Amino acid sequence: MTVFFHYSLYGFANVYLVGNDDTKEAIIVDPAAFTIGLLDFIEGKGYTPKAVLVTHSHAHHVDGLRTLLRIYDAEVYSSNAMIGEIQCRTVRDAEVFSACGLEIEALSVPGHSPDSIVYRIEKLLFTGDALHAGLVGKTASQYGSRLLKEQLSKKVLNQDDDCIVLPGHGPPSTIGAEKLYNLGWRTVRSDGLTRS
Amino acid sequence: MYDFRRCEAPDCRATALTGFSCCADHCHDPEAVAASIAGLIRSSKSIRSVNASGLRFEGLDLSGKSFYACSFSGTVLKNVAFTGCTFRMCFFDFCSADSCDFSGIDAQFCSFAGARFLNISFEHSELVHNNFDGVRTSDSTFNDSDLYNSRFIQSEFEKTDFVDCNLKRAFIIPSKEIDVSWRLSNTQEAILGVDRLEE
Repeated sequence: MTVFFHYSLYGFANVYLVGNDDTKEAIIVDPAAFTIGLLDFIEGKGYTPKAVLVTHSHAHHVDGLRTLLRIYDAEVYSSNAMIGEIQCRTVRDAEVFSACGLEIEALSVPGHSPDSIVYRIEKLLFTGDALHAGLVGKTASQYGSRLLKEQLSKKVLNQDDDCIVLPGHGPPSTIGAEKLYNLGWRTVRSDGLTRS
Repeated sequence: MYDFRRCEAPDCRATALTGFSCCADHCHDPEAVAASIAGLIRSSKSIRSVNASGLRFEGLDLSGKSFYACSFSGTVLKNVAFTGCTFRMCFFDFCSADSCDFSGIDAQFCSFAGARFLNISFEHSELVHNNFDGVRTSDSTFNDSDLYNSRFIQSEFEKTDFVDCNLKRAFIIPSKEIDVSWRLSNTQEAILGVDRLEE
């Protein structure tokens, strides 16, 4: 398995290509905007995209889907049945499925958006906007914030410390680092100060 | 990526080192394993998918090499020269580096989270899209480097300079700063608090 990342200037989002070195098939994680740069990136790697994993359907992560599907015959995996007019293969929490010869586990982590999914492939965690290096995803309410942290604690932070976090924005991290340095776990004391 | 094959020791969940069936904690002779992996790295200009987590390397000159999807997490690095190296998706999490030279490197999408840096130079480097969360630096320098979109959350800096650095979209939220210079760096373009998040 080989993983490549592409930095999309649209929304400053990360696009990932996960290649199966045996079959030469590839999974695209969150196609962002489909630009010449992204096309060059995909074509330059020598893999054929056969699957797309959508962590959540915010525009700057999925706008490239329509064009990508006109070029490549790929199945789209998402927690939604449809994204725009695109039909998706729906994934559910804790579901394990196979794409491009790779085993993938879907972990539902609502909070940043109701449809947020973290995909685990071996020790790689594609966290979308649910978890970034040093930060948890932005939420619209305190309820959403609590829900997201609870889901991350139960399903993501319980992974091995050496699991690699590949987020939708910003640099990569590991579960061990996120447990220690993520600002999302800081609590506010009654005196207004924060503690880790 | 490097192979995520598990260490053969019972109940160990760590990933086995490249070319071996165990992790650094369960190797019978970690020094010999480190020497073997150092030899593997020295023999090639472009190094892909090598897992050297938890090993100790001392007095190596790896200048000018390119590393892709390699892990040096939890390593102890002493007097190692990475001068002018290229790193893509490499991991130095929780490593302990003393008197190492990372000057002139081109590192993108790498993680140094939780690393301890003593007397380290990152001068004149491209450090774009890297994770330095929780690093503790002392007597170190990042002068004249591009830190675009990198993160320094809950980091601790002591006698560390960031003179004339590009900090655009960089998260600079340290928990400790003693004797740090940001002279000539565009701190106004950095993200200095979580209230400026758009994502």
